[in-house]
Amino acid sequence: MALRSRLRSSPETLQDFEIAADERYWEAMELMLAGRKAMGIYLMGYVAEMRLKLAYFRVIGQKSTAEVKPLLGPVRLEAAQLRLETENYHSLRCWSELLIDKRTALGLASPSGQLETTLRRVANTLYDIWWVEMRYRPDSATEDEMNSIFDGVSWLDRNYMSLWR
Amino acid sequence: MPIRSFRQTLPRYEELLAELAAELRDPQERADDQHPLILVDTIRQTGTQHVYVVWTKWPHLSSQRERSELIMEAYEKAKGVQDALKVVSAMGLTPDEARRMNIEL
Repeated sequence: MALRSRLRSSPETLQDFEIAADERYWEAMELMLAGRKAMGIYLMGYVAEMRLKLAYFRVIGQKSTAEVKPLLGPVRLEAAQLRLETENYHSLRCWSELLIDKRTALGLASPSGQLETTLRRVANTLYDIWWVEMRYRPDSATEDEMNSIFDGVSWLDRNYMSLWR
Repeated sequence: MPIRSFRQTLPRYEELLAELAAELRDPQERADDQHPLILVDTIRQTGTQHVYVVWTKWPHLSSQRERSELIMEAYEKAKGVQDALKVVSAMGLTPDEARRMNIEL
């Protein structure tokens, strides 16, 4: 069976995202180390997207075996309530704001608000650099932008558990 | 024998949306080819809901994401935004897909 058919034969789950986020992180880092800025950023952005989605879905009580796609309809409604543009569910700003809103609503926000403040700052930096449509454009990324993406996604990676527990 | 151009009429998104919203407003006694079966699993501790809609009418909407969005739009239309916000998962299935997931119909 071809790869596409193999992948389509089972629905995406949160557990798939967990594993893929780990794999893509190291692959993106290899690209960055090889000086492939645009592709390194592009792949690293997906890691951020997966980490934010995972944290949000875990905060609302989804198990790792949950299918991802049925969770998206409700997300669109939540985002509309907060007047957030989902960008076809790829907006890092949207996911971080949804996560902060949900953490606050459920009483999970850190007492000092420090975690949420840092999350918002990191996500906004990532949002300003990463765009899902960038794959169709030639590489015009700078070294600073590549390093910012790497730092931001590494922060998400390190703090992932704290974002939903 | 006249030759006519082939035309297959599948229900459009808007039609499915209107039908599902009507069903949510005024549920029928039993599901059949026309009416969807709507299963709601409410989590007692949180009050959140997982909604499953089993329907013969949407095999052509192959994307689970599109079905999820349609269910949420119908939910909001029929029950209002506050009730719709309780839904955390909205899954649209055909009867065959539901059976494969061991969902009792």
